[in-house]
Amino acid sequence: MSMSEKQKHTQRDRLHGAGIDDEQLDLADKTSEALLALLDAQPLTDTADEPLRDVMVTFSRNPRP
Amino acid sequence: MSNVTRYADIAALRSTDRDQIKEQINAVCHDLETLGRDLKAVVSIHRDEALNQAAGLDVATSTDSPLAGVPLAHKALFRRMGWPDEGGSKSHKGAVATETAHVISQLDHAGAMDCGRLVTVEFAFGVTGHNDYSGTPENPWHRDYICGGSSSGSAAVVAAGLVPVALGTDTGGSIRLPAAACGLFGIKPTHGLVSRQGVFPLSPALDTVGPLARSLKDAATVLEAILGFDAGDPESLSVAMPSLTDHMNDGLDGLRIGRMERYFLEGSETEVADSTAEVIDTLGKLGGHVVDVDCPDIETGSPLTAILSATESVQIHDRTIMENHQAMNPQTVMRILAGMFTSEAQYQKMLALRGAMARQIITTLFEKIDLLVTPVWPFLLPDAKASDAGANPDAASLVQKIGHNTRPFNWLGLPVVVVPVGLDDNGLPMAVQLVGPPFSEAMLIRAARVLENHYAFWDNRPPLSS
Repeated sequence: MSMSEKQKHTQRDRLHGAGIDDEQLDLADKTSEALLALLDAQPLTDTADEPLRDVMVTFSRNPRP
Repeated sequence: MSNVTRYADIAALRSTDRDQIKEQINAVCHDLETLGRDLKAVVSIHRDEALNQAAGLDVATSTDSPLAGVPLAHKALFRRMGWPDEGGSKSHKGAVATETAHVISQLDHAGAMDCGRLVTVEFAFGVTGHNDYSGTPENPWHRDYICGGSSSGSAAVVAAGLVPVALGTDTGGSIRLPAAACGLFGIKPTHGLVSRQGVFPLSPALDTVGPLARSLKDAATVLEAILGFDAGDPESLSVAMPSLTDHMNDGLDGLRIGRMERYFLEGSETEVADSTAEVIDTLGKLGGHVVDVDCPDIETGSPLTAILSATESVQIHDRTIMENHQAMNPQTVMRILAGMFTSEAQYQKMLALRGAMARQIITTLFEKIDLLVTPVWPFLLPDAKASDAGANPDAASLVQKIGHNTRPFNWLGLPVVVVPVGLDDNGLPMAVQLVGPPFSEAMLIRAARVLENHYAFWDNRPPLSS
């Protein structure tokens, strides 16, 4: 589900090469980890693959006056 | 300063007389050049192009349009072919638009005059309004205070009375926070109701387009002109919407008004929560039926909006980060970098989870109520220094909390109307937001109209403009 450590290192190397320093990358990584941990903790059924647009379509047939 | 446009609404500015339209354009452009620039709210002024629009106005087809001849200006993210397209970023300095946004074309078709572009937070990725490159707009109610972001210039210019309405964009609160900060009506429409084609993107899954205005009718009039299906926006929907203005004076008529103590009122500063509770009580006295509700998953909408917008911003700005991040504000760089470590599987889960949550919450919450009333800002408006995360590290935690009340409704794709209801002890506006089920804009406008009449907010005038 999450990026593998190898993928993360590759991403960090790429950004480091562009001049982003370690302090910035560490902070971004920490922020990302906290937010993605919350996402990973959310239960999702196998059948839940309905994009928001489709949900909106079902509510568009009788707009509230 | 011209008296022609100051505080005039759409109805007063509407004209098919070319000489009068040109006079109005000259007055607005003069005001933008003077007070607008003094407020640090203006990116570019296009007097000649607007005068050309006036000269070419098709009087016959404009006769029935409520926007005929009305001078407007919009957030700098709305592209017009040949106009600057910097997205509020030094990294895009000198960029010129190669297309015209669908909503701008719709306003052209309605006969509106496009006079300029207004300051945005860099790439619309920020909620305070700070922008080292384009300028940080000053709040017309008190110049030491922020306008909020990211549609900061739109809010400043409309609140100062230079134009009646300006378009903004809202990905996590960027129409609603500036509207609330500057005492304006702001409408974030249902996701899919208004096209984003030709609008500088931040997060396509979340971005919405809507008006900021001093009067509810003006906001509704402009929204009515820009809504509708557009094949150029993959999220656009074709919906047979009722008129947004025909029944706006029909009153509450027993509408069920939701009050959510947990998260929204408990999660906001006492003065803000008390003000919102008072507004809800007022709606109860004016014909609404107040219902206490809860929504167990609502709090996840804020952090998930933050990571979804960061993740999608990477898709848009990766090249700029890799090649030219030195020209960007470090705060913007950090916000984008937070999306660099999302896997494709996590991104897909966000989209699926969002749809599932939206269906569940919309179905259960709006079975019990017609609309929900919450605060917009979770605390009193901060001043420019206290909220400058670039200069003041202590501001970071404050800035993170600003979208507490707004982001959940981007996550759910719901329509929201911001209504100004009074002034705080610092003389800055306070506001509430009315949230409804998808495509309930007409009902929300009807309820907001009751509050507009009751609080008569625009009997007040910002000190700068008196």
